[in-house]
Amino acid sequence: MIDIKNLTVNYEKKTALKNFSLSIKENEIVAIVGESGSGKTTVLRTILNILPQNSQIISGKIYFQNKSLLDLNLNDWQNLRGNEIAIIFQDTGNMLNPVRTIGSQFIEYIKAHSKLSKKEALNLSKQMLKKMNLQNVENILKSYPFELSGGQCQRIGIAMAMTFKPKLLLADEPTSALDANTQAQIVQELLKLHDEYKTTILMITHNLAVANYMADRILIMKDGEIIDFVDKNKLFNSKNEYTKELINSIPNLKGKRYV
Amino acid sequence: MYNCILEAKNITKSYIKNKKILDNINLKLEKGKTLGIVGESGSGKSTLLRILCGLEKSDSGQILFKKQDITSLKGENLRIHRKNIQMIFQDSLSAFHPRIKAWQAITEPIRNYNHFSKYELKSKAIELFNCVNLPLELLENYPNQMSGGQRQRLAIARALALEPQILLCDEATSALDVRIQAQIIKLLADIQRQRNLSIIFVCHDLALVKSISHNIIVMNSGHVVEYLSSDNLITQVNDEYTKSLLNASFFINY
Ligand SMILES: Nc1ncnc2c1ncn2[C@@H]1O[C@H](COP(=O)(O)OP(=O)(O)OP(=O)(O)O)[C@@H](O)[C@H]1O
Ligand SMILES: Nc1ncnc2c1ncn2[C@@H]1O[C@H](COP(=O)(O)OP(=O)(O)OP(=O)(O)O)[C@@H](O)[C@H]1O
Ligand SMILES: [Mg+2]
Ligand SMILES: [Mg+2]
Repeated sequence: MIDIKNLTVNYEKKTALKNFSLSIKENEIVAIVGESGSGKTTVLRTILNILPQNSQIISGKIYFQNKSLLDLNLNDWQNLRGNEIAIIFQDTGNMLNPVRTIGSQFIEYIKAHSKLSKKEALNLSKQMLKKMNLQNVENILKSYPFELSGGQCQRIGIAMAMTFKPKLLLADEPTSALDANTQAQIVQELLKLHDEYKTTILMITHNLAVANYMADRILIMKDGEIIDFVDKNKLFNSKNEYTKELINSIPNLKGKRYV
Repeated sequence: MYNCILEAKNITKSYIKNKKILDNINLKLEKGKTLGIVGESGSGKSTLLRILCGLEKSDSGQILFKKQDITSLKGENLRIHRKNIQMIFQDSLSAFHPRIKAWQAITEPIRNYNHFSKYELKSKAIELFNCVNLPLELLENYPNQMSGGQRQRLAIARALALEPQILLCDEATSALDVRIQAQIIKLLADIQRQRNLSIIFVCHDLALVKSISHNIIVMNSGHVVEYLSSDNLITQVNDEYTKSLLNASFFINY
């Protein structure tokens, strides 16, 4: 499905990804965990061709369904984004337009990627938001981003990304702002998308339990490199020192108290 | 003796008529202690914190800081009072000015209250960077040139810079990997012991909240549904909503 080969990415002089390779099969769920600042978001930005101005791809190739992503033109990207590859951003609140309502943005997003009428788009957006455990969807559609809580914004980002049942879903900390109940529901929705539409998922999360529950494979990153990877349910058998340190740091109701 | 530093009495807030976001909230923060807050997404936690630090007005109710009503402070008095309570916002990107470099952003609050040379400010910034474990190579970066978790640590450093008496943390560590998260939690606990800092810690991870808090309140749709003490959290839980939170968590079994 997607094949990343020897990717090196710099921000000015700083190397954020060092010779990074990852190959994901169709219908697989891969999770990336690892240190803050280790380059996880950079991986997703490179796949989707949305790296910032001050960055540079020093070397490497990315193939998506045998197309070389780094060689596509704007028009190709227009067809690919949303429909084939969709992304849930780490900070959805900032990706939304602050001066337009959620409804108008959602409808525009749907119309930009399909031939649906405005009315059909509205209905589809409602249907997607309802799956997200959001109460009072009508009100949410009329709201501006600043009128919504952190977790409500995050769920709007998830609903948008899931709308077109993409072949590849990139998710950057999709549940970090959600309470345990809502998180559990969103995890089920992601798995349902994966089961029903064979969506391949590449997910970044700091929640090792969610990664271990959802993913077929987990990569552990530090300083721009993959330093460990484990298969489903094998996370806690890892021999890697950093991985073990991470596991020992997971908050636990019966665990260490600091006060 | 119980020494209450911050108290909220009957706080009520609505943005739209007849839709109460906060409905008669009462809470007490003890000096030198941590009060954890968990609750459903959209239950009003961030709104409550904004009201507690004076960024937003409640419709009714009172906020008492050391028994003094601060609900209607204005002008210079409000400015001086602000120094006492610092907040770390849930959304770290919009909490920073995009054209101000990291080192300047975290020393800006100190500059507002004191006079320092550029050299002094920069050494203060370096000290703060080390404190929250941020690489010094990021000193000259703009906030949008940092990763999500790096920016969150920058926000923590900025809040600590003024040495406030009360720190309000709104999901302040949720973008961090668990190892760095544990370091930051330990840092907060150390500062609490050294300076008798009082903390309100809003977070979705009940286990993390328990590890840093003395007491915990649970919120659901604008109400406080339960007051718990961290010492015997699990056995105390009565409320159905709190029980559902305990059951829904992805706990690690290993
Ligand atoms: N626009 C930028 N300019 C300069 N440096 C950047 C920029 N964006 C990211 N970086 C740096 O690149 C490194 C990798 O950042 P990235 O956002 O990929 O990390 P991450 O693994 O997603 O971290 P987190 O878990 O904190 O979100 C970090 O050290 C960061 O400071
Ligand atoms: N400025 C505003 N105008 C109108 N409604 C608002 C405004 N700010 C917040 N709300 C609403 O108030 C409710 C509570 O929001 P708040 O951000 O306090 O929740 P929260 O508990 O912090 O949620 P989360 O865990 O998702 O961050 C939400 O339903 C939100 O839509
Ligand atoms: Mg990131
Ligand atoms: Mg909030």
